[in-house]
Amino acid sequence: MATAERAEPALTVAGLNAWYGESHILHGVDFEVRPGEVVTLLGRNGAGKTTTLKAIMGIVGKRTGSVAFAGRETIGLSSDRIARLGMAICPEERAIFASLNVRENLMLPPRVADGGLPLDRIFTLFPNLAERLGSGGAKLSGGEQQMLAIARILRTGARFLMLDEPTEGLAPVIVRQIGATIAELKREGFTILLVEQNFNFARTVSDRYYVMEHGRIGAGFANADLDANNMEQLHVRLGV
Amino acid sequence: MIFGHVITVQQLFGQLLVGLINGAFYALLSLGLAVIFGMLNIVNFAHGALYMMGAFCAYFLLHEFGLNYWWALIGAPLIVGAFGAVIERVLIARLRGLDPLYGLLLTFGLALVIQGLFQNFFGASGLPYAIPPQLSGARNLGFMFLPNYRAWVIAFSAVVCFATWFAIEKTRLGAYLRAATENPTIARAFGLNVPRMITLTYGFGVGLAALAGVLAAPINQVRPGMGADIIAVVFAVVVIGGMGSILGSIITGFALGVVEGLTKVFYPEASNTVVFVIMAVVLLIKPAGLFGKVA
Amino acid sequence: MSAAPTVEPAAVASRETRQFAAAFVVLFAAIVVAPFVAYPFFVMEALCLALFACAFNLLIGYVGLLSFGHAMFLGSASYVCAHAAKVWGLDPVLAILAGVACSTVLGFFAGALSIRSQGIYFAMITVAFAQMIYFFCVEAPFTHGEDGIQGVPQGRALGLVDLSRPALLYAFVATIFLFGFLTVYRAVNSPFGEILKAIRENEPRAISLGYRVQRYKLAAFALSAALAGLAGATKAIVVQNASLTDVAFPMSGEVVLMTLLGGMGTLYGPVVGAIVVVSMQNYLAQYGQWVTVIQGAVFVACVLAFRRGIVGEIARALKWTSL
Repeated sequence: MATAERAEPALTVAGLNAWYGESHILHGVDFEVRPGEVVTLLGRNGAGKTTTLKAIMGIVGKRTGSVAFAGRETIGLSSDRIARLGMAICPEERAIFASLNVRENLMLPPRVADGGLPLDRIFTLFPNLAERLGSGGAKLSGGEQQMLAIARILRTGARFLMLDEPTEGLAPVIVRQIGATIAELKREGFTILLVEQNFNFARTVSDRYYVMEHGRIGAGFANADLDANNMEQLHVRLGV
Repeated sequence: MIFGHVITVQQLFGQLLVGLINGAFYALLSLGLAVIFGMLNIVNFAHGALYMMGAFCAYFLLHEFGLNYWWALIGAPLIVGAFGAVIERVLIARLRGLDPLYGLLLTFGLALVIQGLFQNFFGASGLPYAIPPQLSGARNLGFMFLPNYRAWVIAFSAVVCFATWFAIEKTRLGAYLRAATENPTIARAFGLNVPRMITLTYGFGVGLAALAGVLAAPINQVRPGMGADIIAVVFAVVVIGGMGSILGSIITGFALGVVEGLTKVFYPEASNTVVFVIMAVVLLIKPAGLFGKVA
Repeated sequence: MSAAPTVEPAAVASRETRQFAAAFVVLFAAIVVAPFVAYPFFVMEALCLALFACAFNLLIGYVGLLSFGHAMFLGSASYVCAHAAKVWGLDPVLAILAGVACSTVLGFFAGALSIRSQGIYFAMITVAFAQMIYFFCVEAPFTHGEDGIQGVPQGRALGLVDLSRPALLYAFVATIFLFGFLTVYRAVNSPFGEILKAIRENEPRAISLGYRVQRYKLAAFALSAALAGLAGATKAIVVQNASLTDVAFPMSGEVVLMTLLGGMGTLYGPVVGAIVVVSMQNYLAQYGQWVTVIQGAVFVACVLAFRRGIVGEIARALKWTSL
């Protein structure tokens, strides 16, 4: 695992504030993600986890603070430029384009770097997609849409992936498949920032965690820190 | 004898031809409007004025630069399309995020400015533009005379419309366009330069209007008022076809042109208003339009 | 955003009434003084167009519907009134009422078909309907096409008031204008008006609260058509003719310009806008088509940088809410 060395962080977020219109959602978020890690943002509904991902990607209304990716400040950049630096997002609502078929959805995000997964690898990871290439994007089941949403950002060469609730509302067998995929991506050296309500799922893939509350980071800890005592506290905090 | 008029086969097919020609213009213009509306969510009120500019551009290319019709077919859409792209960048882009009605008002104002300027400099009467020699003459088909230029207009418009439809629905570039239309935020988050796509789309829609203008120049005269005369009918065509549908605007455009032509044969008094009456009927039974996805 | 200090609704209402009353006094005084400082016929025509703009603004400012074909109501009413006064010999008040009836009925029909569509779609439909009415007016025999209906008699209002005397005609027109203006005020500041505003802010919510939203929109549309017809019919009596200009598309565009420039969604905005635009047209008439260019440029400038309009900016500067 790549977190042993004190590697230069892939992503450093400092003092991040964000607004949706007039609503001030993030009140100074600070955390970092190191290369090759899987970091999970935990927290209740409304804590600001999705907003954090969107703010990093540059698709939130207004943001201030600092988001440094691979050493570059990105707080002032537009989202397409951020994408071309090698970051990609798999949104909570999956955002599969209904006016495109599955193949078009898969091929849509342009290549931003070398090192993207080739198509045959993607179809090995997600065999169902290979069968459904001609279907309209909206015709897929929830699980298939989730797989497509993940698959399409793997092609692009982006090595920093943000996955927002990838297992939400999905059947256990698909959840396992997604977990296996994330583990596989981690082995390949991808860096992943995960948002999850399902702590048990997160435990299977994640190296470190941050707990968000009311638009701020409340606590951070690693797998190694978990024991019976603070698991209980954690469950209380997460409202699970 | 129908409705008290004596109609010959010649008349019938003659009017049908005129109807198809008008239909070709309706299709090209409503296609441009639909493409612009899809990406920018504004109704381009300036569309008629830009169609007029296309015709004038052809006239100038010929009379100032000696560039004939064939050069104009490429040149006018490029020039007027570029002008449209500039308008989008400089003016329309400032309205992003506001109520789309402001886009309508802005383009309406632009239409007034453009038309007023041309009217000031060229007066209200028309300038002639000759049919290109390669397309002059006519064929005798037995039941009617088919002027070559008119056949060309119909065929070329159909090809352009089909090519546009194909490009949007079946190509990668079209996929980018459809994605950016459906969800511009996410499309941009994947690395697509959505603002640039918007500018280019507006330019393309304007280019289509200008192309229609070039095609129209030898048939109608080149007049500053030619856009204003046609814009209301084109709006009706778009409403009937359904705003969200590319194919809908093409089919409806041609079909309504034919209907208008036929009405001129059988019931001439109603020919000006038949398209609007059809629009009223369609609104009653299918408010989203015949092919519409958006109300 | 800091929280606004809470104010008693009753206090707000009475402050708004005072603001409105103050502005109304200014308006009334202006109307009384105007014929002494400007050509009375010009003022009367301006008042008719100001009423037209108020009617238009009812739809866009308070219901959020942009009607780009409002001239169909102005023009059709003016034709019917002209015909009623000249050919049927009706008392001018009855002739005007006939015109209003026509435009109201037209409003119901056009509205019923257009109301189901939103925003820009609605605007396009109104363009098409207006064009249909225009073509009808070009071809219908009673309108006399390009010539229009000339020599409309002014008659005696209610059989008593001799409208061929300019002072009486002016009083008549001013009364009609104030009636129309106050009708708009009353409609907007009433439960009906509140519901319209609720519909404009959040239509799905209004529907979920049980309001028959389409009916309210249609009622507003018909009211707007009626008042526009009132303006058109009165104008026919004032200028003593009815012509295609009143039903043609440029007129529809002009009323939008008047309202945008004056201030959409304000009560006094359309009045101010109408006066500015009519004056501008008079002043620039010698420059021919440059008027069109300038109007277009004003449109563009307003949309880009001056969306609140003249009265809107004044209201903002004074921090008044009920202009």
